[in-house]
Amino acid sequence: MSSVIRTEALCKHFRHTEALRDLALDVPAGSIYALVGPNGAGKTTTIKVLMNILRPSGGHSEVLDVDSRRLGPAEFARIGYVSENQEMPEWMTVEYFLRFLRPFYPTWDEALAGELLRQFELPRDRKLRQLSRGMRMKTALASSLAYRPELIVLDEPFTGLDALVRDELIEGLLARAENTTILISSHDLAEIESFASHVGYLERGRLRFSEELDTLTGRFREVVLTFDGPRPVPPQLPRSWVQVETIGPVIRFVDTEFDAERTPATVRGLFPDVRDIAGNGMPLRSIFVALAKVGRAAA
Amino acid sequence: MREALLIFRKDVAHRQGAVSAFLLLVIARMAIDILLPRHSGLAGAQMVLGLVFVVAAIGLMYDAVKQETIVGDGQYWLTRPFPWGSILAAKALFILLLILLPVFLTGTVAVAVNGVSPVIASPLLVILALAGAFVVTVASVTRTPVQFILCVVAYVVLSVLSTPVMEHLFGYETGMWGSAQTVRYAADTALYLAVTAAVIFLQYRRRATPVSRGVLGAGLLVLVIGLPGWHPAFALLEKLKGPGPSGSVQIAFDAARSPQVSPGGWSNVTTYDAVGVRIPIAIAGIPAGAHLMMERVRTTIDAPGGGHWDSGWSLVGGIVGRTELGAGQRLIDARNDYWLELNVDSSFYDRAKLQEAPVRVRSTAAFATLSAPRIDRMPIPSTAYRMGPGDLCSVSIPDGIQLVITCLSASGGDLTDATFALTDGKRAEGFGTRLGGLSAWTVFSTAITGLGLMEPTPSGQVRAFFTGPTMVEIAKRDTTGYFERSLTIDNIRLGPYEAGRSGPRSLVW
Repeated sequence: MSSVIRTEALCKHFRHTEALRDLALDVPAGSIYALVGPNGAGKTTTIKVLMNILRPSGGHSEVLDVDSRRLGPAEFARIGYVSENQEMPEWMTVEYFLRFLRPFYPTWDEALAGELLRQFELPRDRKLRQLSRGMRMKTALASSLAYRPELIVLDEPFTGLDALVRDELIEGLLARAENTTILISSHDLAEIESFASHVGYLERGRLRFSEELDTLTGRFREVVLTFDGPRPVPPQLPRSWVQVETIGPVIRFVDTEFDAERTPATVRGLFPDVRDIAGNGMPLRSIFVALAKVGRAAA
Repeated sequence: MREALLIFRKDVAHRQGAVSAFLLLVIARMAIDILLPRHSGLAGAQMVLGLVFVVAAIGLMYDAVKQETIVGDGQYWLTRPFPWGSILAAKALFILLLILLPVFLTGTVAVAVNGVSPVIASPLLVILALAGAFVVTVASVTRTPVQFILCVVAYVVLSVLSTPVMEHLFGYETGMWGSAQTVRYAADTALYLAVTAAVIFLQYRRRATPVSRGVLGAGLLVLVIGLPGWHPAFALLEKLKGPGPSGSVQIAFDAARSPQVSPGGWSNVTTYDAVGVRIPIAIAGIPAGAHLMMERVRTTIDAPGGGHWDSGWSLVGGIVGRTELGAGQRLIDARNDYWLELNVDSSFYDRAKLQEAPVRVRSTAAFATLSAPRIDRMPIPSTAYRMGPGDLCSVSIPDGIQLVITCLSASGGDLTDATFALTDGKRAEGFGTRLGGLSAWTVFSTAITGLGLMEPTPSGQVRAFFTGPTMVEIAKRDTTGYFERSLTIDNIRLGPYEAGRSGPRSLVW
């Protein structure tokens, strides 16, 4: 599978602050790639560098096979970008905004634009400044889907939106995501989990992992060990075991490299008296929280 | 171009109200300009409207640029297929079609209705375009209106302060280049264009705001401080225009003239503690009817024991004549006696014992040759008078103590000098400076007083008036060449030629 976005050793500094460090990102064509991470991890900076809004301090990045520093009108006609903090021409009405943008896109589909307006229930004659946050995001998304972009980049699109609007946005997005690659950064992990195919975890400017979502959820397990009585935890545990805690006769931890055969064998090697071993699947949100806590503890 | 037109159309749609109001303002301003020569009471309205117009024009330009603001990283258009050249072209189109062109056209109509060739208004378009480029440049590197205003105000304040500060630091005449001012304007304009073009390119092409701000700041600083090198500029004029009919002009030490005869009091106008020395000189060979204009003089003094003083190319002092009419004293003809005035650093003067010790004085003077005058006559009082094809002069007495004659000229030539001769035989001299097509001469109060044209009013103020029809002759002279002459005086004791001595000057604002 070829890559729509590729970065190598990408770095970005703001004076003395290191926002991105040696970022190696690979977004396969046709994937829905979720870039997650705690606040200040560098998600928005990554996207801004990829979109040529910010210039990288080092390294290399390519978007649609073009050096991101050279992205220009030809490439932006194939990219749809929506961000939570985008400054829009507030004085325009929804209809004027779409009509103004239309001539800039050779692939603009007027019928699709009309359909998006209807689907999102956008008031054509209302000025952008008069729209709610959800309406603005819908307008931005509609204006970015109407030309059937090859790549859609969404920077925190769900922040501050109610569940209904989020669902509408996701529905609208997925309904037209065929043959389209989507890069999305978000805190809303529960929503992302429902449709993302790949996930990358960014922490303090570094990409901790980047893989298919199924693989990720498969290797993260909450492991619960049950003993006959209270049991001290030995000082040396595998490095893949994080958030180890003891509650009476139970030891609980998150294994970041869970394997259905290897993990129980390792447990029995360390705890010969263990009575029961249970490996529970984890939602993406719990994985994210576990990783964030580990990251903070390490810091 | 298609994208530029789309953006332009969008900007017009967004600001159609403001644009309409601005166009009405421009038309109102034109109406006042047309009426002003016959209704001087409109002068106040013209001034107020002028201020409103300037603010409105700047505001409209700023707003046009800010529709697609450059500074920042959240603008929607950054990730849209808007070519940077189209955005820039749209802004240029907006400013040109909706601001500059209406102003230029109404200005042209106003002067044409008043009998002046519309050609006179052409420099206005250039000046407006340069001002527009400045607004676009500053707007493109600032984030907020407050930043923009502070930046413009800082530039204006620094420009105003720069002249006295630079004069204090580098010498009295840093801001007065005489004829070489043309070269300096050209150099300043070239630098200005280079800086604004570089900043606009950097911003629109690369959005390199920190670099652009650095380039703009450095460029404006150089413009504020001013470019050095008066003599290379004058040498360029010499090369371009040639010496003219100056081949027979000679300068010599006039040893026969009494050193006691001095052309009036000497007052130190240098920024250092100086001793004034006036050496009588004779200037011969000036073609009949012509005048010389002293541009600058450089003098060196070599004292026994190796002492050396160099005045540099200085406007202060130099060759002076009898007349004290402001800059008119720099006009030289064959009728007068002249002095070489030196403002010698007093510490050098005393250290080298120049009062007694014989020294070697070497001076080189730079001159412009002015042609024989072309005489035009103008009745006074009058508000407007056509001197020639495309020329218009007006007379005003703005504050009751000076007479100002302002001339617009479209007939070419360098209007550098004017002589005002009244029909009753009395004469006064004025000195004109040319800026674009505008020349202004001022006859100072002493001249008017000498002509008996002033009387006290009941309130105690003094006003000037003219009794009966009076005719003023305006002598227009063209610059026909530039040249330099040197004078060397060996073994001269400066003591007998001392004209005065003063302490250090303080900075005059």
